[in-house]
Amino acid sequence: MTVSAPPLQLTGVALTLPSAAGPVAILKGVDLTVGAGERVAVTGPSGSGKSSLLAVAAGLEQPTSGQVRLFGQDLARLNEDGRARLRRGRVSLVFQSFHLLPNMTAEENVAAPLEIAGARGAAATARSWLDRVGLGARLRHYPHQMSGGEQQRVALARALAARPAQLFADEPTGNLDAANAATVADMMFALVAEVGAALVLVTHDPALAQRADRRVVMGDGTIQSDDAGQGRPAA
Amino acid sequence: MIPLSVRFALRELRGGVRGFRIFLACLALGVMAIAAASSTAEAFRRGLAAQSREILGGDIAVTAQQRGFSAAERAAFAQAGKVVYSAGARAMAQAPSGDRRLVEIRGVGSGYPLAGTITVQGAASLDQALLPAADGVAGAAVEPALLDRLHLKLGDRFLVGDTPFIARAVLIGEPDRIGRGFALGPRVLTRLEALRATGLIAPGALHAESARIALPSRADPAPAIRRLKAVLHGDGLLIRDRGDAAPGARKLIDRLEYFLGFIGLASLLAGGLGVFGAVQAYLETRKSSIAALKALGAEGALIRNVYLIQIALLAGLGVIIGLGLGAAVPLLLGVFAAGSLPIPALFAVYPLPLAKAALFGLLSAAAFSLEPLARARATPPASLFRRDLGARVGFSLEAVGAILAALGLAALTVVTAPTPVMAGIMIAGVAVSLGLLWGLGRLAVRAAGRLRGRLRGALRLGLANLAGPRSAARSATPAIGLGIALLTAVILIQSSLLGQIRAVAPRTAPAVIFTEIPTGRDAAFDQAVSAVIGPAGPDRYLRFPFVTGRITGLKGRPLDRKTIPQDQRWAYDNDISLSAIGPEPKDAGLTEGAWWPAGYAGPPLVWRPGWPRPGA
Ligand SMILES: Nc1ncnc2c1ncn2[C@@H]1O[C@H](COP(=O)(O)OP(=O)(O)OP(=O)(O)O)[C@@H](O)[C@H]1O
Ligand SMILES: [Mg+2]
Repeated sequence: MTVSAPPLQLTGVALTLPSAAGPVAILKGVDLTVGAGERVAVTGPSGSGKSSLLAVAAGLEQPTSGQVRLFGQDLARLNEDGRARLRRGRVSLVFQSFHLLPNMTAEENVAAPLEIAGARGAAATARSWLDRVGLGARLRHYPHQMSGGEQQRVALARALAARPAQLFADEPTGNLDAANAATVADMMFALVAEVGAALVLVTHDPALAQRADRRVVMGDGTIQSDDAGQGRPAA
Repeated sequence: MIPLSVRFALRELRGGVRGFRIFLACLALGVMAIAAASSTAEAFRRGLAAQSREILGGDIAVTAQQRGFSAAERAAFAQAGKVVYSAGARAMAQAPSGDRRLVEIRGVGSGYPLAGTITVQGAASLDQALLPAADGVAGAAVEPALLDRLHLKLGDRFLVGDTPFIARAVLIGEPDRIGRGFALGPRVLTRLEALRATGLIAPGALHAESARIALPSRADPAPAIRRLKAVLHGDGLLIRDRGDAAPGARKLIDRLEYFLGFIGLASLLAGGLGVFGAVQAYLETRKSSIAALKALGAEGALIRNVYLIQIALLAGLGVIIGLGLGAAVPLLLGVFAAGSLPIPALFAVYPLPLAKAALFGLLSAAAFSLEPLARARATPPASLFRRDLGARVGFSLEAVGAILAALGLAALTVVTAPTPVMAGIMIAGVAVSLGLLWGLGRLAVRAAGRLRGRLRGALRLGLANLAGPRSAARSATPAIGLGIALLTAVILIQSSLLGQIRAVAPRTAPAVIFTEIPTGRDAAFDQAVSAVIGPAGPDRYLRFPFVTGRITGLKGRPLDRKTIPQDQRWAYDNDISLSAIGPEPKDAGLTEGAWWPAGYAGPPLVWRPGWPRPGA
């Protein structure tokens, strides 16, 4: 892997999934490169393939054709376990529905990816990150004991505790009320900047999209517009 | 440091075992049944083994049918160790009142019993009880049933054949009773010389003589038996040692254990499908957690291990519950029923039967939960975005484990079965029916898929569910089918047992049976009966002569036991019941030949020496 390789590089990515009514083309040739520390907002109508794009980019889903390079590595050359190892400590995801582990406390949730990566002092790191998202007093609480906003802050701490180079966020404020959405969005941009991670943010919220360095609009499985270079410079 | 998989597994278990109640119940029940059956059988086996010397009446027992021992045989016995002789016969006992009863009379030599103790009531000891009276009449210890039957009390005299005896004591227990099997009448115990004096121990009369030998210092009987066999080649000698003191009881225990164990194993298999379903349903609920862990960088093996550890812990819990209950059953049996058991038993917690049951439980848990674990391992992380994604697993390490566990189950079944053939048939039956049921489940899914298009409403929805990717038909069909097959098997076994009982005691079995109606008083008896039930036809009242005897000759030649194959000897060693009832009854059920004609006047079909000669 070359040091200069961009964190994420998609070339001609297509995704076709089988369904009861025959194969459905979901992504139809997507080219996208995200530079180190670059913050990209992906918008577009429902069903245009934004979540699918994230799944393919993070290596959770294999494209039908085209190439996905994460940190210079061709994902097609890795098996599922290999892709999981590649993600460890470097790629994180935040979801609209949080996806916290229900049987783990806030502290354990944040520590889990660090433990999986074999990092030392996972619990202490987790505690300090929960402190930063304002949940230092909720370490022993389980997800079901917390509000949606609090859960998403735990998810954010979990995603960033390992100081990843790439964060994928799929409508992270989609399930939150305005006040909570604003808090979570502020925290996300602040922490991503602090960690220096690249961000690919799927959102329906134009105001949130405006805060990114670059805006990509998806439509019908392709990129309709991309204002690369026109927005604010990368941090 | 605790490994990551263990830490994660313990955290996952905080979610509670609610989804695992069926899992635990299935496993615990099957293990309990096997543990209880094997522990009880072991208790009986130990009981028999601990008392084998008492049950046999010595270290070696030699029995001769219908003859006494020769001088050479007696010399050989005396060389082997301390010998006590005894003889037994069936005879009619008669009270001074004229009451009669068939008895099993046994004469024992001095020194009896060689092993164990005999319990008598009414006399200080057996020797006291058997002491002859001043006028030389022999003493006897008799079972209470005889006293009741003949209206005797201790001290009264009665005849066996023509020989008088005094009932001196009540016979409560002989140590070697179960070794000698079923008795037709109350037992009478006396001195061997006194029995000889009755003339019942004579050539041609039904009797058996036996010698019981106590080896010096209770040595291993095998070499002594070999030496005896080298010297004795007399016919009809049965030599037994402690090991087969009570072969009938031993066989019964083996059968019982296997039958109960079979029910346990079958419930483990039917329950195993429950285990399969429970594990699958549980892992389905963990799907988003699994996908989330994968997104966090977890490899498949870690996921598999996390849930494998949980399931292993829960399986261990289920097995422990089953073992606890299974071990308690025989202990409770010992507390509540020890006094009324026909076979001596040593109730305790025996590790080997419990280990066997645990192994059965763990193997079936492994056989049925490894495949769902493979699917958990292969859960695609993309299911975080798309819920309906199923894992596709081909041939996996887990599948190999499941197959090995299934083979282990089969092997364990064969090893623990009384006969490998029986186990083989059972395993083949289970495998074939599982295969068939699995196929039927698939067929149902397909048929539902074809049919749903032609229907509407609730029916269409139901069929769509049945045909869908989460159809319950695939796993429910074998589970329900095997459960029903198990129930059917139990009912079939039960009804064939009942059928056997019915064959022995047909529907038309009489309500009351009188036996031993004195010859010459039959007309008076008929009158007494009709006085009570009124005049009755042969469908309500039948009286006929009845004789028991053994086959002593075949086709005009005396029987030579040596020429009869071992497996057919029972027919000649057991009493045969003979009766006569005039014309052929409607439901006689002859399979061959013809009934004798009315007014038959040929040679008697039943005749014994002492009766008037045919034609006389
Ligand atoms: N398993 C599947 N089989 C067939 N089609 C699918 C499957 N999963 C998703 N799709 C289709 O793929 C298309 C893209 O879905 P995707 O979730 O990526 O859209 P999206 O842009 O994230 O939409 P939203 O804004 O509503 O989240 C949709 O039309 C969806 O119906
Ligand atoms: Mg989406």
